[in-house]
Amino acid sequence: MQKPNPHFLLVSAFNTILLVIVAIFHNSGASPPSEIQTLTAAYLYNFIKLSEWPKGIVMDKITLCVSQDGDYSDELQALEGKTAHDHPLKIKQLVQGESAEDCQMLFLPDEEKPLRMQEWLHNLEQQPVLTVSN
Amino acid sequence: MYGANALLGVVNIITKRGRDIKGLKLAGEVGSLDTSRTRATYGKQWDNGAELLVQGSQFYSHGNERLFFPEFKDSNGGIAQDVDNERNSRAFGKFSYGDMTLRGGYVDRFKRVPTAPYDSIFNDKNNFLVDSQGYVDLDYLTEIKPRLGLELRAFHHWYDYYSFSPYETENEDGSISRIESEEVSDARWWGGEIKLTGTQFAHHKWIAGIELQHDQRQFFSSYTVTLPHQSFYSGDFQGWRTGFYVQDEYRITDHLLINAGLRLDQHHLIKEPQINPRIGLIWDIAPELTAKLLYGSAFRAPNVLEHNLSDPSAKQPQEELVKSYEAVTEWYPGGGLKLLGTLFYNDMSKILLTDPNTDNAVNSGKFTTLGFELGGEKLWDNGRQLKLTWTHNYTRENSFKNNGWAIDSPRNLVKAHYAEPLLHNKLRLGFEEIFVDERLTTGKNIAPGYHLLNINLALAKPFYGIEASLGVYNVLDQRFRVVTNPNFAQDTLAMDGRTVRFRMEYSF
Repeated sequence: MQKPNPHFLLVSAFNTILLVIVAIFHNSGASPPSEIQTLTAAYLYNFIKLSEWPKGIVMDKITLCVSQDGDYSDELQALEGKTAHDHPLKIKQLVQGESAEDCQMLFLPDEEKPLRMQEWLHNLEQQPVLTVSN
Repeated sequence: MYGANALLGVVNIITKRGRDIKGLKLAGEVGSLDTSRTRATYGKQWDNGAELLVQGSQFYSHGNERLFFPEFKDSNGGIAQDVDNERNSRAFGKFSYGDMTLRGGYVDRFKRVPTAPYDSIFNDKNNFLVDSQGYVDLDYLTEIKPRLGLELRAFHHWYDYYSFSPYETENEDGSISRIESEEVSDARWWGGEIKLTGTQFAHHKWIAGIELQHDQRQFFSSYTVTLPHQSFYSGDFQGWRTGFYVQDEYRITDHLLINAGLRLDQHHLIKEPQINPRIGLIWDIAPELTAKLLYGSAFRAPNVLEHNLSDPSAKQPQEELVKSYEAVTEWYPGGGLKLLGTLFYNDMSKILLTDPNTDNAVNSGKFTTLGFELGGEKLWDNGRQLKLTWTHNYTRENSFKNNGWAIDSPRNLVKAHYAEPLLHNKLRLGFEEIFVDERLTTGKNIAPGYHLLNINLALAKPFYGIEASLGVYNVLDQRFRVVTNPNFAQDTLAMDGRTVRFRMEYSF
């Protein structure tokens, strides 16, 4: 089984500003896939804590959306209810074609099809939604 | 890629991990027909990443106190009294550290047989079976260099079976004697697998592997324990199975993906090597619309009991074959809705049948299935969920006794599932409705179609460490019937009516 590549690429679309962050951590020895998923969830949580959204965007909760539940389901669900910026975190699984405008962050796992990846990014081009992939 | 016996589908079971449990959980379940189940689970993850999960459970069901079979109305009025009970014990363990995972499982079961198959004596408590199965599996999964994964697997499985059945036999002087027979079997097999996964070539993901299995013991025997001793049949087989497979997933463009594979198998119970190709073409027409064309073939080797043991000079049975063709469309029209349409055709040939003239097993059956499946699924923001599936098919059978609509093949199957969160997502109420259309029986009768409605109410999240659920099964109390095979006096068997189960679990 192919392991997820532990190199993150963050693309944030805050109106017209494009911010690219590359976070690299060394893969010290081989880690089973579940550990990579746990680390991925931990990174997503820290990205939320370190990010700031334009005023008025974050209301009563912060919603972390994922385009494919699959392999990350348990790890992401474990984040539900944690707090960031004094708001509780909500995890939401999106089905293709569904609106991601209510999300503050959208995680697009690398298993996502290229065409769908492009579609998500295109639809969120002008939205204050932080998109993350691995 | 799967080898022998993966004919029309495979079931992939993903077990929980130590970290999902975190401590001790005790669960208890009680239900209708004097049914109870207890289960203890312990899970832990250490700081060094090692994880442990162990679980043990026990199940008991008294079953129906009285079962009526009109076919046996001359014996106790057709009533089988207190002969439906079952108990089983299960144990499962999983330990992982670094790249290694060790799994083991064991289950043993006792079941009394109320249906008196194979002309055994009806309503006799000494008609029962006991079986047990266990396995140990060691898995090593690593990345030997960037973009090249290696999986090594070693396993050992065993299965033991014992059954006891009483029969009546007529003596030469016309008197009736009781004979008791036992059937035993004992199987052990072990093996390993080496699998490589590579993504070093752009747009390609390839898999190659070798699987080796030694069927060390496949022993079975059937004999009488009452005098005079008589042996009905026995056999002791052993041998090797080998498999080699390659597969490549090639993303030709952002829109088009092709997945092609080939598996070569050699099996000790059949003569010819088996070559089975699989190919899939996946076309992402638009982000919300995907079409797939799939083709695959597979084989099933006959098991040892299907061999012509009483007639060693007869031609021994060989592999059964299946070729399956599928066209699938997935459409996401928006709003969280997923629609699925599938057209399928399965061609099964060389299916094993019993020749009515010689009683030998012969590879002469043919079954073809043409059908479609339509499905829809929607998930609402508040957690409400709806799933609908309708499958329509026609299966044609060509065998010694039937040429036409296949036995036990419903033309329509409908499944609906609806779940609604209640009280601010504290409770979850689920409805499941299953419709199975009428079926042709072995005796060329029609088993009527039926509806099965199940309702389940559960706590959505633990409440002070307590999880609980209440399930009502077959709410409409339909005495639906399943089709049997020629080893039964009954053409169909009525299943349980309405039952209730309550389950509670406490986490320490």
